[in-house]
Amino acid sequence: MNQEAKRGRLKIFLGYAAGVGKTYRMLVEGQALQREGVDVVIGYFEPHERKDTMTLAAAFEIVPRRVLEYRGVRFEEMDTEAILRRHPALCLVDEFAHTNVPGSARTKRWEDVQVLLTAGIDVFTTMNVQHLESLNDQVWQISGVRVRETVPDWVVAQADEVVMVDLTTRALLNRLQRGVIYEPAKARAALSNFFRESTLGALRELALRQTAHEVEARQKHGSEAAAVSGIVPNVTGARDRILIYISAEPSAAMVIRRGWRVANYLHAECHAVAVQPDGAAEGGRARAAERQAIERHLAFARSLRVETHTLVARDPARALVAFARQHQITQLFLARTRHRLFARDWAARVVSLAPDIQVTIMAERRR
Amino acid sequence: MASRPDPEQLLRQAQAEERYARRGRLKIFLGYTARVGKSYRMLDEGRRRAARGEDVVVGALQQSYSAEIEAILAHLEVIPMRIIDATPVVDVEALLARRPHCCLIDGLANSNPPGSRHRERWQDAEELLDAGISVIASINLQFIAERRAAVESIIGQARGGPAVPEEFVRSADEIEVVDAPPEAAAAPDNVRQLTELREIALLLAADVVDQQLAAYLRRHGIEQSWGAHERILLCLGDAPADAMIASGQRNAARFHGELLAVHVAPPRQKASATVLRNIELAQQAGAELVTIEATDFVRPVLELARERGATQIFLGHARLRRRWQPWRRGALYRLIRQAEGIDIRIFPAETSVSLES
Repeated sequence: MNQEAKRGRLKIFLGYAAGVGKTYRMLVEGQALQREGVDVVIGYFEPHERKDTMTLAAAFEIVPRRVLEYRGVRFEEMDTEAILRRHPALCLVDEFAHTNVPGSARTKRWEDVQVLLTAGIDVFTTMNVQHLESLNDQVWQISGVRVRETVPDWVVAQADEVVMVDLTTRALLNRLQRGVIYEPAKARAALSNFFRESTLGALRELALRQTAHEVEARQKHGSEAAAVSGIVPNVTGARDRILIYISAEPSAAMVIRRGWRVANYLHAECHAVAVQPDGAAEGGRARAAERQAIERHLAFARSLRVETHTLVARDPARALVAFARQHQITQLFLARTRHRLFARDWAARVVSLAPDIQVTIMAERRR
Repeated sequence: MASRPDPEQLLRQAQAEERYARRGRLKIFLGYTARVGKSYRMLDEGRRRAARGEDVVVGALQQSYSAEIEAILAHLEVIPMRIIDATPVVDVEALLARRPHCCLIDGLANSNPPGSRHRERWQDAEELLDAGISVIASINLQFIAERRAAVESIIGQARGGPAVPEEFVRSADEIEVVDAPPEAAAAPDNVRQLTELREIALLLAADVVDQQLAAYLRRHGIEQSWGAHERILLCLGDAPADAMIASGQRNAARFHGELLAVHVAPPRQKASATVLRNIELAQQAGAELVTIEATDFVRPVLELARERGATQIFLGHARLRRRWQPWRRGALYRLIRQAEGIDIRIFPAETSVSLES
């Protein structure tokens, strides 16, 4: 029989910090399934020297990690190929957002997980809300930490289930102080840093809201809960169409994330457009750098599965507005430009050129 | 900014703090339905606390438990419940005499039969808290009084029976969500209902966390915008704004955020019919209205936005066109320049046709 493997199911245990109990919960649920006779293995597990989780993990077969050498240092990564050969029904994979060492077959662990799912293996995995790409700016604003290891939102959206692993911030801080999460020196550093009560509280709120959003998004039928909790349908019935303007400035990444997020929440179509200056080949080094930055931002937008377009024009504001009109865009997202003395404000010009379109001008989040 | 503190207010604050210091701490495990593991999590926490040397007792149990939970109970001291009219009731007197540091109350939303000390079990918990005993309790979202209408409309039947006021749940020092997807074995219709309840429970917990966070930041005098929650500020003016207000309502609802509206007018100016209509629409949309008397519009709006932690300001195009002052930068320019950390969304001018609809 020539049958394609049915895609595996993905379940994400979502938390808001190290030590809330994501791994523990994943192992407990894995164990319950194992007792029911499901073939479960650990594909990757980070013990963090925590007693409870280590005891639990001992109940499972662990697929040995692959050892890689990079610049003379040994690294251990999940051995995806070995797991494929072993082909369990369910594979437990810790730290979904992890970045593999250079030289690995894939850059990110979530890409390894995609391979397992495609092969028909179910996967349980763990991640913190701060690793979600579209929340990167909000997390930075809350914590002062720019999280580098991120997971694109569409990957999380594809998960069959997202479960919140909740723990109150006080309980988490108690655990940290008792030395359950980190050794004493690291715990002290963590307490004065990421693990401030206010930071943790905000991250926890973010995780609760994100889980609620994931739950709602998986709701197939019209939502009665929405009706009672006050969700109002778009009165006009028309679907929103959002256009993100991509510039060469670093703020472009923020506009992309936030525009994408709004589109996602409004169930709107999302496009992004960049305007390259007229006369593609000419221009000095500054122009080339600008062009490269724009290309980088376009690639980032595509990684979030936003449809991108590039225009060539001498007057970007006019080109942008014309494009928006042609594509029946209902909302434009742009960043305010950095202050230039005597320069006419770019955003104000777009607003005056497009009095018929909603324009959102985004300010960098500040700390 | 900081006004002179009112001595009466300081006294009340000191009294409230004293009361709080004497009172026990309340922790609640919130689940969206039965069988998600609330009792397990609550009793397991009790066991772990007892193992660390805390004086923990169990004050209320349900009728029957799984073998797993029974195994935990074997490690805990249980104060037997009193039986009144064949109904088990928390023995408050015995608990007050025993004076543990912490008491576990399973099934917070139970009613007591007539002749009991209190009508409801949550009132028993309240008395223990007032006596300085900490309480850990579990509750099912479906038994929170203010959520009952929503729950009943989702599951399509009236439940009646006992309920705990939401205020009591919100007064908890800690609230923890016990989350799990609906059981795979459930019927599709049930799954849909349970999923909706699950979303409400998560959002309720998020609200409580938001409220606690705001209180924490106030207590510690920290000015921090945490941005985990969208807050939209509508700027109402003298032009029709139906679409803008509707959009504000829709965005606030989709993001489960808050909606505020501000109307800035020069002192002693009589509000036009359009202004009154905008105010009425905004209030119907659920916006909290703030009226400010001022001649300039940019500064008071930004001050209000910062004070209230707004993440977005909505305003109409019409607002930007009037009273153009060639010697100053336009209102929009100033708004954009000064709106640190706040998005500005500008809406197309609306025709007055929408006034009739």
